[in-house]
Amino acid sequence: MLKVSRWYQDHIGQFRDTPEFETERLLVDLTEELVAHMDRQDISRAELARRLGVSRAFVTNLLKGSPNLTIKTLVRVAYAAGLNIEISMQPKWLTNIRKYGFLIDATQPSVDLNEAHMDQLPDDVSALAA
Amino acid sequence: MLARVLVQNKWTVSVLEEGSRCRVEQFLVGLDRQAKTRFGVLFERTANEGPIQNDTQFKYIREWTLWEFKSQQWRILSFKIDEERHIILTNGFKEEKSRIPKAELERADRMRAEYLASLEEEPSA
Repeated sequence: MLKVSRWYQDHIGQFRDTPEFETERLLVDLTEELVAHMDRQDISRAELARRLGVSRAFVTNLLKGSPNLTIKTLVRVAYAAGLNIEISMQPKWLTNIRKYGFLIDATQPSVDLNEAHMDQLPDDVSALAA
Repeated sequence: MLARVLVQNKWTVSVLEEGSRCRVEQFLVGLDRQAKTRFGVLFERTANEGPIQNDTQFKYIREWTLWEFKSQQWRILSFKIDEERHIILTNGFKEEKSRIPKAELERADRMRAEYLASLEEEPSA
């Protein structure tokens, strides 16, 4: 369960439930998956650039996670690395459970986000959180 | 020198306080929304999954035993205590000409040393 301080919630956590935050989260998650795969398969940035027919700088910029990354580019990169991408849409309450481990708690001095999210949850979510 | 928790799950991400002053919080407040959001995502991912592996977003600075979180031209320096699964943020700044200002590295290094020394000074339970 993710715990956040009051200061963090007031200044940064307040953006969590926004398209911008979700975009950044997806970009960071995707680039982490790509880097982990490249490490496991011993694919260097130069090698990925060669497979894509682009410069090494292009790959570096890609890994920085530009918000302007298109699905077309994303799929090309995945293919070059030997991966597929699956995109699906989920209810927000369900992805929040998966991302934050059911509900968000807070440290002291704290803000309790559990209550704020309760109205978005169905009656029985225990099975979904597994 | 006090470490105060920002976000916590499997790992803890904290900020250092010097007296009542926290350089990282002051730095973060001045950033635009996109940069704040990226740093927030990096901190939360770190708390949930452990240190970021992508070195375009979280990079080891070998000579200084420091790590930097990266968002566009903005940088936040930090150090890790692996056995405690703890990453402690020291100071933030704007990187210019792809170089980290030496004064910022020295500041982070000093804060790290002072914090670690303060842990050793604490009386054992």
